[in-house]
Amino acid sequence: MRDDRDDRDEPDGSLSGIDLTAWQPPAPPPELAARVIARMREPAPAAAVEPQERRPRRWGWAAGATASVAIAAVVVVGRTWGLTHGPAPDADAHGELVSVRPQQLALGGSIADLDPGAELRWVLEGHRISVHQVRGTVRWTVADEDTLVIDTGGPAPTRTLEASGASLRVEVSMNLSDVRLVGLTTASAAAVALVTAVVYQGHVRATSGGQTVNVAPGATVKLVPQRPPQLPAEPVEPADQRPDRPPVAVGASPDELQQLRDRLQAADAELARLRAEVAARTAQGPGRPITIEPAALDAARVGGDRNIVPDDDTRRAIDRAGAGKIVGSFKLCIDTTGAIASVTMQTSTGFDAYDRKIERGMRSWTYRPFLVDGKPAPVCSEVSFVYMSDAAERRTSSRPPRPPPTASPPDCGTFNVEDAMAQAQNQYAAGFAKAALSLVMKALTCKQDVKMYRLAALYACAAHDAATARQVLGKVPVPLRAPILQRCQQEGIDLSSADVP
Amino acid sequence: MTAAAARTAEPLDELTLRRAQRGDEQAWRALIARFQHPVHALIWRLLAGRARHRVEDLVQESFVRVLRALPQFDPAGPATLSTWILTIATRLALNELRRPEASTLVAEPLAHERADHATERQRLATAIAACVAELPEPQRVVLVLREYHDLEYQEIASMLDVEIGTVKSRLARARTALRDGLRARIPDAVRGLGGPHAR
Repeated sequence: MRDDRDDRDEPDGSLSGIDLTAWQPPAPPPELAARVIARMREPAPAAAVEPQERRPRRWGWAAGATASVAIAAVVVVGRTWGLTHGPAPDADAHGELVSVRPQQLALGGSIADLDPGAELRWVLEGHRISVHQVRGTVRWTVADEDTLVIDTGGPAPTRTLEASGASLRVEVSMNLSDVRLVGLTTASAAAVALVTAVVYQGHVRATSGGQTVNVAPGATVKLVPQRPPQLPAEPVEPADQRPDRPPVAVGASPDELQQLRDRLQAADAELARLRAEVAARTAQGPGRPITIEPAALDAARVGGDRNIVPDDDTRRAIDRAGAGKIVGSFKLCIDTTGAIASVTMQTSTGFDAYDRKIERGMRSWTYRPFLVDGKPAPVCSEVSFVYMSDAAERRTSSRPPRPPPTASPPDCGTFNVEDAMAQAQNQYAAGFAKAALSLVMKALTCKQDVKMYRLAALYACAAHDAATARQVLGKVPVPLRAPILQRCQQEGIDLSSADVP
Repeated sequence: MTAAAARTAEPLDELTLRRAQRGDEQAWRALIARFQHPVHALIWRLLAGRARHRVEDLVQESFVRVLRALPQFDPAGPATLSTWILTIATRLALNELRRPEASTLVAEPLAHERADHATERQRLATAIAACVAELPEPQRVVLVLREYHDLEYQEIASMLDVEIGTVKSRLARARTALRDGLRARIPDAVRGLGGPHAR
C-alpha cells in the first residue's frame, strides 16, 4: 500500500475538497466463492498464468489422416468455412461466423463473446435465437426478453442449452478418448462434440440423452452424447452407499473395463483412508492449539502494555549482578475467543520477581480471535523479553514486534535498512502493522530520515500504538503531519498537536 | 469497503495462504472473502459504464486466475499478495476495456442513482462515475488504483509496466479532468475548488 504522500513529489491536479469516497460500489455478488470454486473444479484448459493477451487456441486433434477427417467432418453440412476478419456487431436474421480473434456479436438483445476459433451459425426469429455452436468457446449474455437455444449438433437425441435472462459460457470441443468410450467410429465421432457450459447468472436448461435439467448459477454442466446432462459439482456418493454397478463405457474393451474397475477401487480405498484420518483427528477433540509465528499472534493483539519492565528492586538486583542483558521467553496461548488460555515460562530471566511480573502482565493482554481458514482457532506462540541493564532510559522489549531504539539495537554495520523497510512495507500491506512498526523502529536505530519517521507514524497508528505514533510524529516536520494525523484518525487515534513534541 | 477499512480488516494469515497454495478449499474461501471487496470495487470502477454482469464475470475470472497461479506466488517476492491479486484483476479489466464495445451494451444504472431521493452525496457519486467513465483508459486505471486502492507509484508502474513518471503524469491529467468534469456537472457541490493545490 502506498506510503505517506510526499507533497513535494505529488503530481499536479489536486482533488482536495472532493469526497471521492462518495462513489462506492455495490457489494460483491453473493456466493462468489462458491462460483469460483465450482469453476476451479472444471478441468483447466491450460496452465494457469497471469492475464495476458489471449493465446490462440490450439486444437487437440490427433495428427494424421484421422485429424483431417475429423476436421472436415466437423463441418456438418459439408462446406468449408472461410474465415471472417471483421466483427458483425448487428447480426442479420441468420448467418454464420468463424472468429479469428476475440469478437462480439449482437443477436437481438443478447450478446455473444467469441473466443478465437469459435464457430457459430444462428437464426433470429423475433426474440428466439437458435444457434448451432459448432466449436470453440463463446460467452453468452442473454437478455431477459430473449430465448437462446444452443444446439451443439451430433446424432439424435439432440443436446441443447436453453437460456433466457442468463449469462453463461459454452465450450464445444472434441475429446477423442471420450469418442472411444462412446463407441462411435471416427468419422461419425467427428460430428459429435463435447459441450461444457458454465452458468454465471440466471438459470439454464440443459438437455441431453433425453433428459433435461436446470442448471443453477455457479454450476457447470457437461453434455456428453447419449448421456444425461452431467453436473460435476454434485456430491460424490459415499463408497459404502454407491450401488455396485459397472463403469459406463460403451464400446470399451474388457481390459479397459478392468482398468476402470481397478482405478475405482483404488480411489475408494484412498477415500476411506482419508475419512479415517479425518475421524481420528476429530476424535482428538476440538481446539488443539496451533503454534504460530510471534508476529502473527501479535497482529491479533488489541490491548495491554507490551513494555513490562522490572520493578526498582529487581533493577537494582540486575545491576548488582552485572547482567548486561537478560532474556526471558514465555509461551502464550489464546483460545477461540481470544482470551488468554495459558502463559507458561519457557526460559526464566533469572529474576523470580521479574518472571512473575512478566507473567502477570501477559495475562492482562487482550486479543481478538485468531482466524485459521476463516474460523477462530486456539493458537500458541512464544514471546521473548529482553531487558538491557543500563542507568539510562531503557525499556524492556518483547519480540515481536517492536523493541524501542534503545533496546537490543541491531548491528548497523550489517543491518540492511532498505531490506528492513521493504519487509516492513510487505508486512503492513499484508495487515501486520505491528510487525511493520517493529521493523521500521529497528531500522530507525541505524538510519533516520523524514520518510522513515512518517512510515513509522503511519504503522504505529495502524497498530493502534498511540505512544509510539506520538513519539515518531514529533520527528516529522509540521507541514507534513496533516496526512498522518488524518490517517491516524481513520484508525481511531486522535493525535492532537499538543500531544506531539 | 473503503481502502482504509480493507487494510484494517482481518489479514490473511500466512498459514491460510500456505494452505490456499496447496489447494485447500476452505483456505480458498478465506482468501476470496478477504479480497472480494477490493477486487470487486476495482473492476467495478474500472468498468464504469459497462454492464454489471461483465463485472461479475471478471471478478470470478480474476479469482479463478488467482487461485490457479497462487502456488507460484512468492510471499517474500517483490509484490504483496494484495498487490499481486489486484494486478491480476486490473489486467483482466484492461483486456475487457480494450475489447470492441458492442453498440447494444447499455450502461447499468449506478449503484447510488435514485432520482427520487438524490442526495448531495449521491449526486456527487453519479458525477464522479460519469467523469471517470469518460477518462481515457490509461488515466482511469491510474486514478482508480491511486485514489481508491492507495497503491504506491512504483506498484502502479509495475502493474502497468510503465515508468513512474508516466504514472504521475497520467494521474495529474486524470485529476485535472475529473476536477473539471465535476465542476461542470455539479458546480455547487465543488464550489471553491481553485487551481491545483497541495492535498
